[in-house]
Amino acid sequence: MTIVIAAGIALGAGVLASFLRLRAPLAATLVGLGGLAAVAFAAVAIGPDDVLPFGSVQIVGSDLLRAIGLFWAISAAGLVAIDALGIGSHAVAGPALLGIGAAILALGATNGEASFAFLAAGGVATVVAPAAAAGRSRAAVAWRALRTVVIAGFLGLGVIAWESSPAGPLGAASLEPGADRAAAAAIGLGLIAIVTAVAMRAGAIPTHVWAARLVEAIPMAAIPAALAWGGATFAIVASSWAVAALGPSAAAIGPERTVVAIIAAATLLLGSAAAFVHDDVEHVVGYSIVADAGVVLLAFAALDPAVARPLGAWVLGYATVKSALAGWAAAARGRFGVRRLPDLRGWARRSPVLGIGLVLVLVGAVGLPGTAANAARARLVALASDPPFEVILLAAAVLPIAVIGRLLVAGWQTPSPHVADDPGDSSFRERPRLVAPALLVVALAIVGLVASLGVGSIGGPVIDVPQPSALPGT
Amino acid sequence: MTVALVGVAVVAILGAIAAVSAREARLALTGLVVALVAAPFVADPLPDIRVLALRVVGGVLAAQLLWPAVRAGVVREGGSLLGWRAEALLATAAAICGWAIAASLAGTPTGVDLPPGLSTIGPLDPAAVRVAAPAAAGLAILALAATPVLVPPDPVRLGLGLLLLVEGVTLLQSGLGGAAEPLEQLAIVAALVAVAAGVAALSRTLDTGAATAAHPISGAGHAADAATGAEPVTPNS
Repeated sequence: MTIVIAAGIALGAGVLASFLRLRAPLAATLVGLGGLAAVAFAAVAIGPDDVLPFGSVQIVGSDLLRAIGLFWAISAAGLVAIDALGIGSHAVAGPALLGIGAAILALGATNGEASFAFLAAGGVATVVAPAAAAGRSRAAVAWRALRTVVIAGFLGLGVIAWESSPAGPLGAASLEPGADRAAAAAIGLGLIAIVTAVAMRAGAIPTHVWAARLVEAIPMAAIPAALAWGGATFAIVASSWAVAALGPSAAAIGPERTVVAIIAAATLLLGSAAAFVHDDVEHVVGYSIVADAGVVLLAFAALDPAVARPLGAWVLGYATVKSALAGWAAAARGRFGVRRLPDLRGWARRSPVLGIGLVLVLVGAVGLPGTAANAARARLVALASDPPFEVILLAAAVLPIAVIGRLLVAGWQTPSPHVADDPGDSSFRERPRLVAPALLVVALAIVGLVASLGVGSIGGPVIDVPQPSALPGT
Repeated sequence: MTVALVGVAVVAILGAIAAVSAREARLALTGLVVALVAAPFVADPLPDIRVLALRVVGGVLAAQLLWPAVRAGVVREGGSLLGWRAEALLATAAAICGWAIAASLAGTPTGVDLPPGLSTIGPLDPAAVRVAAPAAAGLAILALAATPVLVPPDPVRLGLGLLLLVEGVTLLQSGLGGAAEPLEQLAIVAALVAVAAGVAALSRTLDTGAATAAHPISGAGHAADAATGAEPVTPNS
């Protein structure tokens, strides 16, 4: 019952905040912050024993659901506050709450089709609402994102429905290599289709164009809900189904899994490269999130039941840390009023507190040896690849040093004219609103580090995979 | 019951044809309402009355959410890019394919590989119609949704296409795998309403009476690029 309470609070507060934003933006932010606090408290009570029957389907709690609900709510609250104090779009709380509510229901439902439909609904809210609030020219960009999110959700739903129907291949049971080529091809097609849905939703390469456009169109603080958390929960649901339904036939679909591994590696490496070369800070944040989605895709290349726990730990760590990175970008934007890195030169000299926040984000993004997120990434790489390939993917783990290090280096250069006028953190007593976002970034980065450390046992969601049966009515 | 099932499926397809091909936006929206309301009834046995009520209310609400955008004139008058005849033929072909696939599966005992063309029941057998009607309607509606989703002439028609896509997938799933669970029905209604609300919100932002030609979807990216430097950010410093 706690799951439904948490989802109900999130959805109710999200709708209220979205409506209030039109007439009373500050009230929308306050309602949003209250709703996020309530969701965080409710999420703490979610556990594996929390089961709510809904017809023949159940909504079941899990440790991962609790962790995602809690950390998403805390991260979103920090981002809402940073946005309100700095940029003032007031368009972050409503979409984040709607996304959290949909994700809670999706991760709790034991019916994969229902999960994907909920995620499509939540995705629309997190993508469209911030863009609609950003003005006419930005709203135009959201059409492509809206289309992608809906197609991804219902592609996932369609794949599950087809694979488990009498028209699908799951009736062929577990396949040995060469046992039944037609069924193996159909199962391989199912894997490619579900990975396509995940790649579309997470903005993985080569389906990243909508995500690259979207990050230009929505407030910086809204990016994590739209891309990091939204894509991650989508991947968790898809992975739970894929491992349960397609995993037993993994040996028969080797070529398809290789293709998935290549897509994952390309996303990881090219995403990091794109984040490194771009000067626009929102592109750095966006591509950094896209690169982390590459690690998520490795779970589909492995198709091993052992991916569930590392995937949960990784998702929790990267989504929280990238929320802190987006928080840094939003705070820098709100404070200095510019978005390009050359214009941000010297930012850390003016705001050492913001600099400390970004250093903590760097530590979380690279991962400390021994932390849950670091071990999870290594485990996912090991499950999905063999030694030569594995070394390359593990080496890619240090790429955030280059990406975030570039931001830090720019921070210590001679201040640009945009930054030089800033009174600095020492003016905290006279202008507390100036420094408060930087302090919030430090807090968000610490939350990210805590999430990366691991929060105990992280069991994933349970999705029933229906056994093939005769068509209804026959 | 069989005739009624086929009749409702035909009504849903006709509604979808009107939704994608009508020149006048109001007629397109009326077609959408017909398709969204009729689709849940393309099932044998019918779902629980509460589920039916939920789907009907959800469909009407989704269409209602699009109404302000239609009234504001965001829709390009001109109908389908293909024309209604081509759309109708496309839907008919897709419906025949869907019917044939589902009827063939219905006549094949589970776990038995029959030679092609052999089936234990005919395509018009009531047991086959029970699964073939939703599958045919689903595939037809999916085919109709393809054009407005992939080549959207205007924002609202993209919304119409996305709503039909959701409905088409749901119907196809119902035909191939059986009726959706109540929780899934709830989730589908949530998706329908979310898509319609999203389209309405974007349309409201895009247009306060300006000509639709000023904001074609294909030029969206360039529009954002042009506005990149003009984002209203007020630094605190």
